Amino acid sequence: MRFNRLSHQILLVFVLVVIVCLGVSGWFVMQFSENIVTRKISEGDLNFAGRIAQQVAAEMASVKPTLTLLAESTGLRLMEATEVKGTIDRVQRSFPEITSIYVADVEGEQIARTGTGKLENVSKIWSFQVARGGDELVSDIYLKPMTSEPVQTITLPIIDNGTVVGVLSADVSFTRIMVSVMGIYIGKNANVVVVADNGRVVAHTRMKQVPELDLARLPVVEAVLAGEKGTMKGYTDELGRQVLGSYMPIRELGWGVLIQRPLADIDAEVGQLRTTIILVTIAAVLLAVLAGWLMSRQIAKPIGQLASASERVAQGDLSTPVDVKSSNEIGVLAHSFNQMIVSLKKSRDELQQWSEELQESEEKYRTLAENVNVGVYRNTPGPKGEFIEVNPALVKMFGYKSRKEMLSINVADLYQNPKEREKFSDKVAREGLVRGEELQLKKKDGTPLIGAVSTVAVKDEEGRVQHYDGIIEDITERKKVEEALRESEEKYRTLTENVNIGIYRVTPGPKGNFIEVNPALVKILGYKNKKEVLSINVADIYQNPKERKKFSDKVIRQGFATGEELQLKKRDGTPIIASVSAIIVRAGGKAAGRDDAGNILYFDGIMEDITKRKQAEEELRKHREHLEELVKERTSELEEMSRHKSQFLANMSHELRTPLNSIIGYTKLMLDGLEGDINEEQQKDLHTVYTNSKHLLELINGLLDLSRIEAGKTVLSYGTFTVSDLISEVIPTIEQLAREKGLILTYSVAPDIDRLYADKAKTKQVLINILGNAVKFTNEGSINLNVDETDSDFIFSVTDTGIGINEEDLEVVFDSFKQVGPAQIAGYEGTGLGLAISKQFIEMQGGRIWAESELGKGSTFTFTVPKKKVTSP
Amino acid sequence: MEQEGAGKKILVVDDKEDSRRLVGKVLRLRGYEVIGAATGEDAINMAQTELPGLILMDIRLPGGIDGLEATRRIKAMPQLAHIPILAMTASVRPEDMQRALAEGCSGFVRKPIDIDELPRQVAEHIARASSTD
Repeated sequence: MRFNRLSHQILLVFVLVVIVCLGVSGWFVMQFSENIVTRKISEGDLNFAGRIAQQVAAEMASVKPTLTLLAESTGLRLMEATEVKGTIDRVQRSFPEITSIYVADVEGEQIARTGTGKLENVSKIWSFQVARGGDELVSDIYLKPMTSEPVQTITLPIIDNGTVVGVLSADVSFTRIMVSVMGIYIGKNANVVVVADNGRVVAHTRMKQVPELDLARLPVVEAVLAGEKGTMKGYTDELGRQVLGSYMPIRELGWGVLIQRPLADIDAEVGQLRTTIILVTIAAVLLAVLAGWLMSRQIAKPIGQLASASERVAQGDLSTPVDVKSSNEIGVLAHSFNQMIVSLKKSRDELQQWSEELQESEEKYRTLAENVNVGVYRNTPGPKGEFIEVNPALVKMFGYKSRKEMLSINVADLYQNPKEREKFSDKVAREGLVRGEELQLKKKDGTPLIGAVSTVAVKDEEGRVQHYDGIIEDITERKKVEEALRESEEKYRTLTENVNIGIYRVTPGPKGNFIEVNPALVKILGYKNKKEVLSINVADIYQNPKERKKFSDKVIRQGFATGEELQLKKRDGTPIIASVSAIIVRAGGKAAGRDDAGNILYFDGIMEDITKRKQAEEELRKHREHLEELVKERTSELEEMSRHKSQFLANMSHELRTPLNSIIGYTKLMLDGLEGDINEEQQKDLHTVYTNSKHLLELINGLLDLSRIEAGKTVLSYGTFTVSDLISEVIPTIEQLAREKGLILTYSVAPDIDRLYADKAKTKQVLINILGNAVKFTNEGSINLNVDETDSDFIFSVTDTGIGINEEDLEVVFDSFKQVGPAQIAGYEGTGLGLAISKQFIEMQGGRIWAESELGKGSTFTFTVPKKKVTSP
Repeated sequence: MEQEGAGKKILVVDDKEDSRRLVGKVLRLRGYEVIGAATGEDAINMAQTELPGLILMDIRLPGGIDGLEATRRIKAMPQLAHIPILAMTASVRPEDMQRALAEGCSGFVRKPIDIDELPRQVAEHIARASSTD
C-alpha cells in the first residue's frame, strides 16, 4: 500500500468536506432533539388518551340501557325468585363491569341477588326509596368501603301497569372498566388518569398511591373538564412529580382522560437520542474516510502504474504492459499506452526477424544452389565460353563426373548444334535477360537433353558483358508428357468433330451463349457454320424459350441431366426433337456435384437429333391404338352377335319343338296300336318316323343346352346327395338299353364314399350321356361304371368293350358336332353334342373330363367332381 | 286298359287344335272326360262352368290372356283355387318353369309330350289334390 502525494491530497479534501457537512447537520439535529422528542411523545400520548376516551364512553354507554331493559322486562315481574336470580346472574356474567345486582319487592325485601350473599331488607336505603317512588337514581361515583374501588350505583323502579312493583339495583365498577385500558404499558413512570365530571378520579394507573381523589383544582383537570384537549408541560401532578400532561375529554360523559409523564423520563430519552446522533455521525465520517481513501487509490494507482510503465519503456523494457482494467478515461489511457507498447514491440521484433531471415536466406540460397535439381552456372562470354562456376545439380544433369571436369569443358560442348550457343549468347547480350529458352542440349555421353534456360548478362559500367549467370532445368520428360497430351487432345478433338452427336459448352443465365460447339451440333441445328452458332443465344434454339430455363434449372438443381427430350428448332424454324444430356462446370474447372461451392461457369452437354426416331415411335403408337380400337369394336360386335345367336336358338328350339310335339305324339299313338291295329310294314315305317323325330328332338335340346352355356345363362344349382341316389336314378334307364342290346351293365362304388355336393341334375345328365354313349357304341361285352374318391375329388369312370376311338379323334371327341369314327357307321345316331355339353357341365363345377381308348377294344370315359364348391364357375 | 280316369274331367287349354286333340286322345284312352279351350278367356269360363278335376294349361296362348294370366285368375277364384293346374310348355328354360310355379301351377308337362308319361302325371296330381281335400 503506497500513498503518494496525489492520493493524500484527494483524501484530505474529501475528509474535510465530509466532517464539516456531517458535523453541521448533527449539531442542528441535537439542537432540535428535545423539541422533537417532546412533540413526538405528546402526540403519541394524546392519541392514546383519545383511544381510552372512546373506549370508556363506549363501555359506559352500554351498561345503563342494559339495566333499563332488564327492569322493564315482564319476565322479572312475573318470575319466581329462583328464575329472577338466574336472569340477573346471567346479565352480570355478560357485563364484567357490573359487580352486583339485586331485585327487591316494594317492601324492600330482596327477592334475589347476584353472588352468594344473604338476602337483606333494603327498605332503609335511600336509593331504594327513590326508586320505590318511581324515579331512576344514578349515584355519584364513590369508593367502595372494603376494596376502595370507584363504584356507581344505578337503581331503577320495576313498573307494572303504572304501578311500582319492585326495585332493581346494580353496582357498576369503574376499576373493572378501566382494567383493560390501564393494563396497556405506556412507559415505566407515566400514568393514566380518568376523572369524572366532578373532578374525582375514576381510574388511575396507580390508584392506591393517589392521596386525594378530588383533582378538580389541577389546571389540567380544569382544562379537560372544560372540554379542551391538549398538552401541558412542567406542572406538579397529584403524585408530586414534574410532568408532561396530555389530556383528552370524554365528551359523552363530561369526563376527562389524562396521561402524565415525568419530565425526567423525557430528558432521559432526549439524552439517548443525542448519543445516537453522535455515534451515527462518527460512523458516517469513518465510512466516508474509508470511501475517500479507496477512491483516491483507485484514481491514483493506475496513474502511478502508468508513470512507472513509462519509466520502464524509457529504459527499453517492452515486455510488461500496464495492468489497468477500469473502463473509464484512465482505462482508455492505459489501453492506448499498451497498444503503443505492442506496436513498438512488434516493429522491433519484425526488424529483428528480418535481419534473421536475411541471414537465413543467404545461407539457404547458398545450399540451394548446391542441392537443387536446377543447374546453376556462371560462364564467360565468347564464341565457346568457359564455365566459371557450376553447381552439383548441373554436373549431375549433364552426366559429368565432377565439378572440376565440367569447368574444364566449353559451354558450346553442351549444345547439340554449337552454333545455337552463339545465337543464344547474342540474344542474352542484346536483351540482358532471357527467360525459359528451350535449348536442344546434350549430355556428356551424347544423350539429347532439352533444357529450359534462363540467363542474365552481367555487364560492367561500359556495357560490356562480363559474364553470364544462368539456370538450366531439365525439361526432357516434361516435353515428352506434353507431346503425349497434345496427341491425345488431338485425338479427342477429331472424335468430337466427326461424331453425329452434337457437343457443346454454353454459359448459364436466362438466354445463354454458346462457347464451343462441334460440327455435328452445327449440322443438327442446320446452321451454316460454327461461327453462326456462337453468335446466337441458347434460348433461340428452343421452340419455347421458357423451356430453356426449365432445363437449365433442372441441371443446376441436380448437377446434371440425362436424355432429356427437348423441343428445339433448326435455323429455318423446322422443329426437331433432341435428346440432351448436360452437366454443370463450376469455377476451378471442376465438373462437379451440386454441393460444390464454386460458381457455375458453364453447362457442358451432348445433343442427339431423335426427331426421326420419335416420329417412328409415334406412328407405331398410333398404329397400335388403331389396332386396339379395332379389336375392341370387333369384340363388342362379336358379343352382340353371340347374344343374338343365343336368343335366336332359344326361340328356335321352342318353335321347333312345338311341331315335334304333334309328330312324336301321334306317331307314338299309332305305334303303340292305340289307334287301331297296324301291319308290320306300317309299324316299321312308323318306328323310323318315331326314332328320327326323337333324334331331332335331342339335337334341338342339345343345341339349346349349348347355347345357354355359351350365353352364360346356365346356373349351377348345388345340393347334397349320395352316390347311390345318383346311380339309382341313372341305372334303370341304361340297364333297359343295355339289356335290349344284350350287354352286361355292372357298377362298383368305393365303400364308405362321401356324399357329393354338386349340381345333381347336371351330373346326372353327364353320367347318362356317357353311359348312353357306351351302350350305343358297344355291340357285345360289358359296360362298367366305377365310382371312387380321392381327398379332393370324386372320380366317375365308364369302361366299355365297344368299338373304341382313334387316337387323333380322342382330342376332338369333346368338341361340338364332332361325332367321330362311328358316324359313318350306320346305326350310331347321335347329336354330337352330348360330350360337348358334358364337358361344359363338368368344367363349370371345377372338374375334368377325358377319354382313353384303344380302337376295337373299347373306351374309358372319366370325369371328376370336386368335393369343394368352386367359387367362380 | 285300365280306366283310372273314369268320371274325371280334364280341361286342356292349347291354341293348337292338333295339340289339344293329341292330349285329348291320350287321356280319353284312360277313361278321362276331356274338354278343350283355345284361349285364356275360354279356359277361365269353362273352368267356372265345368269345374274340371285338373287343367292342362299351355303357357303360350294368343290374345290378351296367356296361360300364366289365366292360371292366376283361376287360382284367385275361391271356388276354383283347389283345381290342380299343370303347365304345358315347349320351353326348357328354368325361369319359365319357376314363373309357372309362382303363379300357382302344381307341375309341368314338357312338350313334346310323352304319351306314356302324361297320364301318369295327370293321375298323380288328381290323386294328390283329392287327398288334400
